[in-house]
Amino acid sequence: MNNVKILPVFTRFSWQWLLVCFCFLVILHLVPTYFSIGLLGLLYARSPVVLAIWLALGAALVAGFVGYRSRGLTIIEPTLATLLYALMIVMMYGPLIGSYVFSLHPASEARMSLLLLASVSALSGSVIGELLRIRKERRLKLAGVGSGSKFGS
Amino acid sequence: MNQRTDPIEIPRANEAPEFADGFLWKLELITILALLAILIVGGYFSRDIFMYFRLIGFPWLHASQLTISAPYSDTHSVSLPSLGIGKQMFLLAELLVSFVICPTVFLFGWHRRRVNRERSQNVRSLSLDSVAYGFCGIVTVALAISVGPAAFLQGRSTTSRCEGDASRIQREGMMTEMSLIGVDAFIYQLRPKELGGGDGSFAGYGIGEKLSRTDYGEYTATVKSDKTLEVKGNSARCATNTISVLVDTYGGTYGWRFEGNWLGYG
Repeated sequence: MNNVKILPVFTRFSWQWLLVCFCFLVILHLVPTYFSIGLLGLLYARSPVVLAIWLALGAALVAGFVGYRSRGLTIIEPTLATLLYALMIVMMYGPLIGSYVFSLHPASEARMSLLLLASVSALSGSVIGELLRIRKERRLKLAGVGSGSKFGS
Repeated sequence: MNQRTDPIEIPRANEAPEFADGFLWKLELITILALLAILIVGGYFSRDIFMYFRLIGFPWLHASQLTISAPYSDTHSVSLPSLGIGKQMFLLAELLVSFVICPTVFLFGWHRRRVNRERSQNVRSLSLDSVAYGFCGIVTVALAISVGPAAFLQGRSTTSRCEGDASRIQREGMMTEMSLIGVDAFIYQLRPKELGGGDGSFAGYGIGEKLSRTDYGEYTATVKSDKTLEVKGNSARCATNTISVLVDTYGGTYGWRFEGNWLGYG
């Protein structure tokens, strides 16, 4: 029978993963958008709902990947990185679009909702990623395929 | 004790490095370059935001629109957007990246990863290869998903534009033919009765066979008074579209009325 060692619930904050997650969001979310589905539909439509869905979905997927791929629990880092990324999106495209989402009008509370939604979505994504990772490790452990874990055997 | 309830032991020894050598600074460099490229391209197109979105968003749709619009440009019904050589090169580069490079890298990378996975079960460190593979995969999948709806929307837009052009041509064709009918009626009312004319009146006028039914529409004439004739035309393409006009004794037409969908002309 194996010795009992529980994975620490809270691990040290990793600046590296914060940076990597932000870079992933730019490279794997923003740039592919330019090349494929286009910002035309997202931004020219001036629909905050479409923008929110685009941002939340991308943040959840990237954060989920980071949570799955990183060692230990990596939840705060993707969330913070996504918050910074969403802030950057709002600042970058605000003057370009002129949508009320980005204006200083009181109705621009949608902007705060956008940031909040992106962060919550990233948090959820990273938690799901972590759960998937733990589940996979447990499955491999039970199957006796130690070398299948990303931690080696 | 059931083994399934055992907590997981996480071995810490012999761990592969989490990131490959130089991964972090290379990733940062690429990110900075990507952001700079986005800002530079945004600045380059800042004078024409709509063009910027079209080129950035749907370069392939833009290219197809240019192809479709080219024949219409001769009739001046459609103005082709002018593209400088720089924007054309940008469009071409984006098309190459989206449709050639990304799918190729993704599909070959997928195959290579499958082969490598069968050889080794170990998870490798994060490297730029993985990021490039992920980027190309996302572009490929996103394109594959968005091509259908976007092409459908583009098709609808093109169809409605063609219908608009057709209606315009239709309308002008019908108006020309109705003016001809007016001239024909004028000649009729000038002729004396002995020569089969109206002798100063439209009474008894009938549209000739060749003029009453053409590719543009069907026409009927109703004598309102001795001095006034009403000509009414039904569109051959759209039955609900009708045009009516009055003809005076000098053959002049007045009081054009358009009913149905004539793109706001009526």
